[in-house]
Amino acid sequence: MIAMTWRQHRAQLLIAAAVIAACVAYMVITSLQHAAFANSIGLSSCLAAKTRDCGPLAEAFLNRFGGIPQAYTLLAGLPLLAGLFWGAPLIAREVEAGTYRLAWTQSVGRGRWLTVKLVTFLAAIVVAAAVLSLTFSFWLRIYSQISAAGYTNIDRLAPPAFDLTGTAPFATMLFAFALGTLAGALIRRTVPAMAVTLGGYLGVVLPLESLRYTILSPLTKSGPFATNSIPVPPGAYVLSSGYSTAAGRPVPFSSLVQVCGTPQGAHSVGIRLSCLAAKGFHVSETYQPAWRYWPLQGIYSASLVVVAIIALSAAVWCTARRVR
Amino acid sequence: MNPASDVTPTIETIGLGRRYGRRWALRDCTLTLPQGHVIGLVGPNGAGKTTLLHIVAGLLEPTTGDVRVLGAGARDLRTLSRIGFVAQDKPLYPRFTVEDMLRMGGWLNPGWDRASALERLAGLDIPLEQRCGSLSGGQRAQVALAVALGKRPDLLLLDEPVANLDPLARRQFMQVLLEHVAATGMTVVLSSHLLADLERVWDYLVLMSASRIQLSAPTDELLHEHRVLTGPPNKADAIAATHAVVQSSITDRQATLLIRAAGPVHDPDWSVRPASLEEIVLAYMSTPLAGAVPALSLLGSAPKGSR
Repeated sequence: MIAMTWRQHRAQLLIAAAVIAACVAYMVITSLQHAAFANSIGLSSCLAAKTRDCGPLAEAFLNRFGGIPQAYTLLAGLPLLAGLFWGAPLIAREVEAGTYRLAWTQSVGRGRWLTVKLVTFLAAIVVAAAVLSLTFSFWLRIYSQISAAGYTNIDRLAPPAFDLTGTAPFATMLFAFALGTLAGALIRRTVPAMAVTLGGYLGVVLPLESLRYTILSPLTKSGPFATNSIPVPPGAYVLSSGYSTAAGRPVPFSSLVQVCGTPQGAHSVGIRLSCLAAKGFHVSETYQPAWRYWPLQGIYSASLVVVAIIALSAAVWCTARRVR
Repeated sequence: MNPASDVTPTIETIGLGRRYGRRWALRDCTLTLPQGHVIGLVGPNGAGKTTLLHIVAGLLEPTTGDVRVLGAGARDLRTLSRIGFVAQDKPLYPRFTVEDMLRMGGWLNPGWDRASALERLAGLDIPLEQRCGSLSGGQRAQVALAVALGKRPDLLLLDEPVANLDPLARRQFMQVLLEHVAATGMTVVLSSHLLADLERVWDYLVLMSASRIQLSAPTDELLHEHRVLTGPPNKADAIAATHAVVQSSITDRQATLLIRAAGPVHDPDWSVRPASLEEIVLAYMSTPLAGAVPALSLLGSAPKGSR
């Protein structure tokens, strides 16, 4: 049955391998560029020394490369493809093409037929997710070092890095695959099953993008503006900021701009921090600290995996129990 | 075949029914089919033949009733490994080569007989490296049959096997099939909506119409029992009292009855001749079901397979 699974699905698996290989190659190349630049300006050695002020060097690096490019938000959508192109057709295509009448009247029985396929794709998901997660963590490591030293808030806790590191790629990919498989088992037509998978995946994952950061109550840190804003701990992900007067009356961000804003070009508004500090404004940051990364990853991944297991069991049950 | 399996019916159903929404595709199906026959499952399109075959092949769960195939449940792995099933449009994986299909047979079936499958296809000049998606209708049918026979099944189910084939491919298909039957003695059930399609290869007939079994008997028994009577209309009731009248056409001057005789007809007013199989089949198929009291009574009295 493993040979059968490979013969039947090798095209899907090989295409996925090629897509992932291309992503990995791109990440490795850009990561090497990052490293070369960081070495050439002395940023790496500065960060390693941990005693000197690396602020200007970090700024030079961030000016050169920017933050995490938009393309990586798309990369975070890669798991969806496992649902659309592995999951949805798995049962639907057999039924649609009528080949289920061939496949399910062989000696192996449809229970084992489906189990072996699911286990094969599960193995592929483990490998694909691990490769993505490890490669992106490798790509992100310079940002993480800069963030650990407190010069940027670009780190693995904020999206899209949260989706591309740790166990999140595995969980989202498994969830998408399970959703697709169940949709295919229930609808039994490939294209409608793909549509339902797309809708279901986005309908769950997009709301989770904010929910997953509040499942553990965020921390708050408030205080008067210093010349350097109030620092949240390095690596923290700021969910929201609130402002108040010295007397404690909340004020919107726009009043800060009115009072202390300086026009800087057409598109951006700069705020003079020294002005805010002098006027006695307070700021209150709501954030998740860096150490919450693994607890939050764990909760997010575990909930998706649980739903995926339920969906896969339902798909197996539907297929083994009855058809049409 | 061991002696015990000889007396186990190939297919045994009790009160089998399958409903799709509010429509019954099959109902009240009670059948006992013996082993070692080529069984023709004949009926018009939509009579429930495919539904019955799918239930027997374990693809479909019945809504009511029970089915035993070769003495076990239709979904049993034991049963699955002993049946071969060729579905109506001969589904094959279009991107698989013929060779891949044969390999698949080996991957999915422990008792796979690759050598004879290869031999059969070689005899038909079907290239092994060709993709199934580009085979002709006749070749598709042959590959599907080779995959089904490669399992060395004890029961082969063929759903409308020759419906879409040209006459030459049809003959080739039946030839391969009958050679195999002669060599192995396996039981075959073939369905068809046309009597002529099966070229009289069957020696046992199951007739279906309007989602029900109308008749189930060995063909020689059917030929032996059915008569066409022509005679005076006023004596038709007397015949109906002793024999089962399957179909009658009565005019003022003459009555023509097709009967399943309970014994000889002695009255010299009737001219008696044996009924042909076509006449028998047409009579049962055209009998309106609601008023078909004789046909319904035949349901219960359909003889269990002997021989």
